[in-house]
This record gives sequence, C-alpha cells and structure tokens, in this order.
Amino acid sequence: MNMLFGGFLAVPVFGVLLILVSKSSRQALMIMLATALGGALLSGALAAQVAQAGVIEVAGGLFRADHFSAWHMIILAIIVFLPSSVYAYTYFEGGKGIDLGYAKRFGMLWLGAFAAMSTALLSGNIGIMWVAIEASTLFTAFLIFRQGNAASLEAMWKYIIMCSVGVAFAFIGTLLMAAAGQQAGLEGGDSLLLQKIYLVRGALKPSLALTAFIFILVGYGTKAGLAPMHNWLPDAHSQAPGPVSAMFSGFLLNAALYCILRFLPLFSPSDGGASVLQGGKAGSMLVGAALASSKAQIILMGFALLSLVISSAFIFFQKDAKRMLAYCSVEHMGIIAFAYALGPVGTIAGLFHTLNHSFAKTAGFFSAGSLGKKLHTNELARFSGASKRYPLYAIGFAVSLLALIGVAPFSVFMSEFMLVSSTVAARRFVPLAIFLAATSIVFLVMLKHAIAILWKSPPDQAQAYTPGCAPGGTFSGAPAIAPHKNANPTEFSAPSGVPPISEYLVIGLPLAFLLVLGLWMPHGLSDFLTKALDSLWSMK
Amino acid sequence: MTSLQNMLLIVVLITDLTMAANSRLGTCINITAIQGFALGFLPLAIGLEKGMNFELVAIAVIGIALRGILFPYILHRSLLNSGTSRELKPIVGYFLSVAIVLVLIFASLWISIRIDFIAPQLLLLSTVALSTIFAGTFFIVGRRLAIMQILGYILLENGIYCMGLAFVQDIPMIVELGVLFDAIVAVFVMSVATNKIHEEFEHFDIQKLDSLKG
Repeated sequence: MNMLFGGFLAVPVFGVLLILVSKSSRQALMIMLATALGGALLSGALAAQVAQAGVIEVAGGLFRADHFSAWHMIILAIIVFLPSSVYAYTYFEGGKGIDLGYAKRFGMLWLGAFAAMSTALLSGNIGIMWVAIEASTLFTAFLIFRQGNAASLEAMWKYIIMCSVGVAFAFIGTLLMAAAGQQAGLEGGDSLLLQKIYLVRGALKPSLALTAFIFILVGYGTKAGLAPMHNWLPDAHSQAPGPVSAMFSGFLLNAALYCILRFLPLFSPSDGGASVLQGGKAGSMLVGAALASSKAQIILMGFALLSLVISSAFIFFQKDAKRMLAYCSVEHMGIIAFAYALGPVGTIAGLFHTLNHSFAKTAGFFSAGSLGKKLHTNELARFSGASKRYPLYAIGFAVSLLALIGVAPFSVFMSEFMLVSSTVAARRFVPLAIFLAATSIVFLVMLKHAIAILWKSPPDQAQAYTPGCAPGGTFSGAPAIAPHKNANPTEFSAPSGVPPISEYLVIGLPLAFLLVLGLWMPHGLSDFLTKALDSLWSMK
Repeated sequence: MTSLQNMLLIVVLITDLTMAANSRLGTCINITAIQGFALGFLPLAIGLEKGMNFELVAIAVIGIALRGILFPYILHRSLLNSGTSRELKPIVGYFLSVAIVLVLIFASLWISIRIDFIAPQLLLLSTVALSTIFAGTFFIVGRRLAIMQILGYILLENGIYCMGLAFVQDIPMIVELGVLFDAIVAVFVMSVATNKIHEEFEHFDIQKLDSLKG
C-alpha cells in the first residue's frame, strides 16, 4: 500500500526528469502523456484498493485515502488530467506548434501540478494539505503565461498574488484549527491530523474553531473560485491555453474546494453520515440532527449562493466564450458548495455533480479552445454558425453548453435534480429559490448561445473585428489569440483539415459518458458514492 | 520569553515600520533581509531557553539562508534588471503608511490580549505575528510596484511563521519545511513574473495592468 502513495510522487518526478533530458518538443509532450497515463492507472489502482479495504493510512495518518478522496482522485487523474494531456498534445500540434524550451517548461509544470494536487487529496495532515495547494498555485502560474501575450501576463500576476495571499490566509486558519485541537487535548503534531481533530471535535472551542473555518473557507475559497474572491478566475481561464483552462476548471478549483469540505464534518454534532443513510434506507422523512446545519455549513451556503448570483449576472452580459465558461465554473463551484452546505443530505448530489461538471467542463474548454484557435477569436458572436465550418468543435462546444446547463438526458440534470429534491427534503426554501433563479438565468443565456452556434448563419464577414471591442461597445477583454484583423475571408469559409481522432475522443467521450450516466447509474457507482458520503461525514 | 527573544521580536516590529516609511526599493529589500535574520535566529533563541535540538538548528539555518540571504538576493537581481530604484507614487502615501502600520500594531496588541489561549509570555510574539501579517497585506494592497507586492507577501509569510510559533506547539518538521519550500518557490515565481512584466510592458506598475475586465 505504501507503494501506491509513493507512486503518486515518484511517477511525476520520474516524468519531470525524463522531460528535462528530452531532445524534442514532441518527445517532451509524449513523456508528459505517458506520465499522465501512469497517474491515471495509479489512481484507478488506489480506488480499487480503497473500495476493497476501506481507509488506507500510511506514516501514522500523514497520508490517508478513503472513499471521498479516492473519488476526487479518479476525477483528477482519469477524467481531467489524462484527457487534458491528450488534448495538450494535439493543441500544440504534437510539438510542432511550440519550441523545445516551452514544451519542456509546460510538461514539467503540468506534471508538477498533478503531483501537488494528488498530494493535497491524499494528505491526512492539514499542514501538508496546505503546502500542496500552495504548490499547485505556483506550478500552474506559468502555465497561464504565453510569450508575447501581455494579457496572459496580467492574468498570471493576478492569479499568483490573489491565490498566494488567499491561500496564506488558509494557513492562518490551519494554525488556528491546530491551536483549537491542542486546547482540546491533542499533543503536538497530532493537532494537524484531520482524523485526530475529528475525534475530539466535541471538545473544540466553538468560537476558535469557527474563526479557523472562516479563514480556511476564505483562503481556499479564493482558489476554488467562490465569489466574491473569484476575480482572478475568469482572467486566468480565458488567457491560458486550452488544455490549461480545462485542467483549471476541471479540477484545480475542485482540489481547493475539497480542502474546505474536509473541515465541514468537524462542526457536525452527530455521526451525520450514517444516520442519514439509515433514514434514507427506511424511506422515512429525514429529520433531526442530520438536517440541522452547523454554523460552518450556513457560512458555506452564503458563499455558495453569492457565487450563484454573481456568476449568473456575469454570464448574462458575457461576450467572450472562454470567460463565459469560466463564470460557469464559478456557478458550478457554487452549486457543489451548495450541495455540501446542506450537510449529508446533499452530499451524494455534490459528489455526483463534481464528476459531471468535470466531464462537461473539460469537453467544453477543449472544444472552445480549438474553435477559438481556428477562428482566431474567443468572441461568442463570431462563434455563431460555426457548426458548418468546424462541426466537431462547434457541436462539441454547443453540446457541452447544453450539458452544463442541465438539459435533460445529461447527468448534470440528474445531479441538479437530486440537489433540488434534497434541498426540499432539508426544507431550505429560500436558498432553493435563489438557486433556481440563478440557474434559470444561466440556462436561458447559455441555451441561446448554443442555439446560435448550432443553427444561426455565420456573422457577416464584412463586419471587421476590432480587438477587445464587442459589438455592443462594451469592453470584453483582450482576446486570447491575437485576431487577424484583415483575415482573408476565404480562410474562414474554407474547410480546415480534419481534426485528429484523439480530439474526437477527448471531446466526444466525456459527453457520451454524461449521456450514459444521465440515463443509467451503475450500482457500483451509487454504492461508491454512498461510501464516500460516509467517509466524509464520519471519517471512516 | 527571554530578553534575547524579545529583542529579536522588537527588531521585527521595527522593520515593519521602517518598510512603511521607505520609498527606496533596494532599502526595502534589505529591511526584509534584516527581518529574515531576526526571525531566523528566533528558533536558536528559543533553543537557548528550552534546550537546543537538531530540529531547531535546522529550521534556523534554513530560515536564515532563505529569508535572510536568498530572498533578498533574488529580489535585488530583479530590481537590477528593471532599472527602477524607488516607488514614487504609492497608492497610500508614506506618512500615512507609517500611521497605518502603527495602528495595525496596536490593533494586533489588542487582539492578542483578547485571545484567551495565548500564554502571557507569548503576548509579544503574537502581537508581532499579527502585525507583520497585517503589514504584509497592507503593502500588497497599498503599493503599486510588483516588487513591493512581493515584499508584502514575504512579510505575510514571516508573520504566519511567527504565528505558528505562538499558537501551535511542535509543528512537525515536514510541514515546516514544506511551508518554507513554498515560500521560496513563491518568491522565485513572483520575481520571474516581475521580470516578464518588465520585459513586456517596460514598467511594473500593477495599477496599469487593467485590460482584463468583465
């Protein structure tokens, strides 16, 4: 079992070393791809182990894997990281599009980010967790930057400063939590072990623990993109190259949110997970302690609702495709936080939604990235009618928009439906109203864009594109790729080369999975989710 | 707290104040170096009181090497590349900055007195920790140049380090080293980013980076 944990560090380190000595950008990208595959296999093995043996601990609880972390590990490695690596390979045209220096730097930072995020998921020590999240900020910062692109530099600086400072506040929270643990009788280093703090949670001083949680929530919440600390997010997501945006949105945010969620059970009075399960099995109404929200849950709910409201407002006025997807991430982080803020009742919906969001968002960013690259703009207005010229990307983008807003057969609809029904069960009607209002706005606006992309005729070619200026006259941010002002119209109408088969796979497969999961939930999966719920709320 | 420890902490407080008063970027970097040395010696001073062990010595040596020597070196190099020597128009003026940092120090003292789980002998340590955290955050918000924001970040990290000493006993060394490692990579990444900003824009006034909106 030790081998598995070691592997998550050893495999990326080995990959980085190989990339260091690689001779061509193609080679560097291939090594990156192979390492990502290794990481995916490892996390599959880890999940299998956890499913069999339950909690795995090494080094006295310093590293720890349970169903909850294994679930996130699968999403990180298999659903986000591997496809993003495949997409990165084609995005950079197998190394032809970039020089060796850039390829090496990209590959090393990419793998470093993977190592950091998996460490965060697998640490049972809140200090290590913090170190890993901060490291993931530092590894990913330079992935945003592209030489000669001033706007990407601005986005990168915003990202480093906001997230470093935010995450520093999370460390203050971590220290306060450890102080609370020591007051409750934990010795020295034990006060940083989540499991140990959980066991003494009844003895934690409420005011101190809650202060700690607020620091942790604001700190990691900055990185998770919860409003109002989300300002860095649309800039970073829109300026970064396609694969990086997909990885950011697909998992970097979830990794930070995961850290917040790990602290929630410290505030739940009873053995929440199990009692809800029994209530559910008996088919009775959910009552009592399982439904009572702790103060921590109420505060998280506040941030979740604010994220929903703010993101829906920004999506309403959005003119840029990648920025729209970025705000959509803020919205979905809000939805996931909403689910967990309901307590054990909403947890299954939250877990399922995390998976669905990562599937849909990676496909969305892959297709938007390629479409933007082909059209030389990220402006939504220029995307309309693109399905005739670039069917894979345009249809992929439009379908992922439909999946993201929760159109019926896709599983996002299922998880949102589960969320709504558990909100009703928990009798949280005001949050429910806000949730429905915000998601309806997003639904209508994004549906409009999806329809335009699929069926509207392409925009008038004569209308010259002015950089940074949307037709409405509002400033919509510099486009990620410098537009060709005097682009030859034939360049747009001529059919481009057929997309490589791997792009069909990375865009098509996630959407296919969303469709299947929406129609049929395998028994093993729902079983795993129930166990993940239990491992979150009762730490077993 | 022995008088040696108190002296080191007072040095940290004075450096917070002098940072606020200084417009020369080179001097500000040196001030954080002094602060880094003072904080680096702190574990040794604690060791003199409670008995020296390997962990304390290791943390002191690594702390001095990073905070006292490496960070200032990296930042001085960035500064040389840029050719800028002082911040002329800070968002908050120098006189007001000193006043604000003074207020922050008193506020930290007040908070530290009110936190009931802090042992009386750790009062100064906790005051220094909080005021350095506040001052660091203030420099990040109140200064325009990227280098000053990095210095603010270093102060923030230093403050959190003190806070760890004040609030939590026996943080495992692996965590402590991880935090230090993150700090060094952060400073490195930020200074490379400043160099890039300077290459691209010919300045590093963060206030002027405002093309991304909405």
